Amino acid sequence: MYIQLTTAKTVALLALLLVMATALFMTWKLKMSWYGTTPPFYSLELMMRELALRTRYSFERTFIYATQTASAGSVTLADTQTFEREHTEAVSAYAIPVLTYHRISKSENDFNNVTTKNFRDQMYMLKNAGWETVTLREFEEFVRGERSLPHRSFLLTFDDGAKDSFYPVDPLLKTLGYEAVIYIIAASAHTPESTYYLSPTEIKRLLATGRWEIGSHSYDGHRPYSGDAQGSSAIFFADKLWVPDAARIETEAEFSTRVHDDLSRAREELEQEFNVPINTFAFPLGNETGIQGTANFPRGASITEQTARSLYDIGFLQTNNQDYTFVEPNNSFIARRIHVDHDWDGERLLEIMENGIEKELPWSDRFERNRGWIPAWGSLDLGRNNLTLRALTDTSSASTFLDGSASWDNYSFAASAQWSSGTMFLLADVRNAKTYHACVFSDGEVSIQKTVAGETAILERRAVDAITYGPAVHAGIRVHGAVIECLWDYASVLESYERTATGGIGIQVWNPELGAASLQVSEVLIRDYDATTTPNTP
Amino acid sequence: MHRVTQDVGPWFLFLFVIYVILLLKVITYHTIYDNVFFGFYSILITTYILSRFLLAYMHKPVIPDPSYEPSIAFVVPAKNEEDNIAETLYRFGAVDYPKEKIEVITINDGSTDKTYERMLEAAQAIAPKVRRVEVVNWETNRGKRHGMAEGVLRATHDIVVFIDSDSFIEPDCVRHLVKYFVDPGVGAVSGHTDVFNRDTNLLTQMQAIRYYIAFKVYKAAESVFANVTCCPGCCSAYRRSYVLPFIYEWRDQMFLGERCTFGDDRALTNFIIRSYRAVYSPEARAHTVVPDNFAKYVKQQQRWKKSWIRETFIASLFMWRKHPLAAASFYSYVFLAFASPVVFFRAMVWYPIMLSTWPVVYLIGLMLMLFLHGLYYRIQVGPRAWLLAICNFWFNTVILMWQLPWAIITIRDSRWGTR
Repeated sequence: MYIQLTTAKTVALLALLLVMATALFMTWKLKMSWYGTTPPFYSLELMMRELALRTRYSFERTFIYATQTASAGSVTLADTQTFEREHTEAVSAYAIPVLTYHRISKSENDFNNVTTKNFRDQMYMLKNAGWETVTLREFEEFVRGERSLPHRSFLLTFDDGAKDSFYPVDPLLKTLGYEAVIYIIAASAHTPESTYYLSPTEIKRLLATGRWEIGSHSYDGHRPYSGDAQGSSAIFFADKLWVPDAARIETEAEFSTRVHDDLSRAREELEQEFNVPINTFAFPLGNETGIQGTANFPRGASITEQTARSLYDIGFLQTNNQDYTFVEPNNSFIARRIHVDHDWDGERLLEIMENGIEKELPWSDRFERNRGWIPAWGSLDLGRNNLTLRALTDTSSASTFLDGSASWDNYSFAASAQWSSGTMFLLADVRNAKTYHACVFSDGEVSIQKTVAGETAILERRAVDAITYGPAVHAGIRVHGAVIECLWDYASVLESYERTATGGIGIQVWNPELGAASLQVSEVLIRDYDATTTPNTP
Repeated sequence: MHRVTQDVGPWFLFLFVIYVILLLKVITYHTIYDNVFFGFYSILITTYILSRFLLAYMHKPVIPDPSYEPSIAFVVPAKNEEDNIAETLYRFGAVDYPKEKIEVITINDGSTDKTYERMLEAAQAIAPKVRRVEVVNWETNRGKRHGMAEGVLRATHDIVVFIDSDSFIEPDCVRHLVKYFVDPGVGAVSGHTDVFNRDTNLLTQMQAIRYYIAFKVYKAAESVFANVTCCPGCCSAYRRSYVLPFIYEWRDQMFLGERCTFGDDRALTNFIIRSYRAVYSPEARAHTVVPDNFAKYVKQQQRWKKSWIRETFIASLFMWRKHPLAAASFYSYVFLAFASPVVFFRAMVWYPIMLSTWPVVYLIGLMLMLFLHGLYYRIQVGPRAWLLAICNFWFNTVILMWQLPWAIITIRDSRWGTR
């Protein structure tokens, strides 16, 4: 044996062995404490991506923002924002929007998820326009009416608890000083070695950043279940599920128990595991019945909603063109979220958010672009200085209402339109697409209607010969105190003293001939009631 | 140890690469359960390579005993080597050793160029500096083994030093070769050969790294157990009295019904280590000329692979009697050599086609291992385009992986090919 082991060599080798073993052990510990059960190679990939994004965003913050602020001379972009924000701070927002994202995707062809590029574009755009995030707690207090929030406040949320909702997002949040809420599917967080869902370790790390809060996205109610013996897809929170052992679908009692157990288990486990209060619930699949909304159990959705109401403070549903896009402090359990579509760029999102801010009176629109008209039903075409409402084939009416008008009270709403057939409705006091007051103009007649949750009552009716079709008619509705007034050619033609609610404006058209209802509006003008008591000449 | 303090950075990188390799193994531990064969391969190759560095680190240096000066005989067979033979012989006149203890026997094995003339000129020049020079001239070519055997038979001195006709020794080479023969158990000593034409191109650069690592790490590791499996013909010393008993058997060796023409050195070492020790002397330095184009290189590698298969088969019949660690190392290497084309095929062809998975981990692992070797070279020798050479080495490994199966198929084809 030609072997030589001096003391020095032995010591060196042992030291090396110790260092190597320690280094390996520490690496493993570090991986476990940062990425939990995430597979090692995927952890490495996540780390690289996160590092790249952090570097990129801090570079952008340092250089791009710095040059912006330095070069703009007397009034810089940043200064204006600060000024505007401070200026509006005194006035509380009437309502604020909530945004929903799922994952931030690398792929351009992912129709459920926004790309990294669009997300960055959107966030920078919002920040530059003065939008700031609020925390879940601030949001809850706002909804309960316990606190005010400045204009351009919003709540940023991500559903499902996916890794791609955190890693591509957090570096940007840090750069912009934003905060966000992530809705966790409690069971999915325990998917072993998942490359998709955040592991509990990662959720704890996310909470520790101080930029993130969590909420419940059900215990295990997000994936498809089967609703019959053939295994056709059923929705956990809306359908009675198939019970294979008994070869039947669930009873109502079984449905209620299952939904209750899932919702309470989600809250309990999330609170226990992460030691934070879980007060909010985001309905999986956008709303109770999913997007398709075909349930084998019609009452399922409302049972789920009642159960959720008993367990959580706020339940989030997706906006559905029947409500205003922003959440008002009306103390209701249901709150609406704007689902950000994959093909919206920053400008599109900003436009939608700006349109939702309460509009100040007087307000007029000549329809150069959409300034917040929401198509409740039928087709809505905006632009070229016209608002055109048309019923779809096989339907008899079309309806739209104006986002950001919910806070209005005591106003006069005048419209100029090309009216050639059917019945024209001017809506005031719109709470949602199916709750409002209306002046209904038909050939030779006018009436005042009150619609609550789709149930209509006629308050007043009168024949007026002057009311007739024409290429440029001038109609109006005026609401103040308990009074609802209809106007034709700027003159009051009918009054009702049974006004019971306030709200924004809308337009509807009706024609008993299917698919024929149509109305083209060229201008609207809304002014404070006080301003219209003086002789009216628009 | 003095080198370590000289240049800490590369050493740190060297250890970091080992750390990354071990980390990869820890991370991919589950693949061991997935497939026992490939899992075993994965662990074995890592253990094997890292243990070579460890053993080489523990290789014992031997200090020459000035009173021990056995007589030596340089034996140089040559064929068509007119460019290098004279320089090879001149170097014998400059060795640091008592003149009366040196004899030189050079054999012209049917050269068709001016090799014989150059031999005579050089012989004349060195004659005053040695005890005896003998030039043997064969009109027709008989083969390298015959030339080497002829040298052994004609020699009168105790230690035969084989030097290839394109290798050049350093003056202190002899002393460092013979110092091991103090131990009567030692039958053969391999010198350390570097690449003479290292700076010609990337291929020779790469071979320089291969030579350096093969000697400094792998031969040194074998030498720890005095079980060097190949004392190469370019510069090695053998005890003449131990060689003589089987000189004809070796010269006329047959395998699978064919006369063995190449692998002379490995075969001779095999005869020795059956009963004696074979060691490596890192201080006994020589320089050899290596192929400088790819075609020649592939042919040379093909010859080596064939002789490796043959001699490994023979050695495997008696290696189990050696030191357990030496035997384990030997059989591990045999397993790895045969398994690596299979593993290569699975990672580079089978998985991409069948599962559409890219062999990222495999290629990174391969690259890291070569990087480790390259770093060792960089630390010991210096910054000589080593990174580029490592890339070339990697490229060659990927291509030459197929040589072993090919050598098995063509094992009976004993044509030398052009050199």
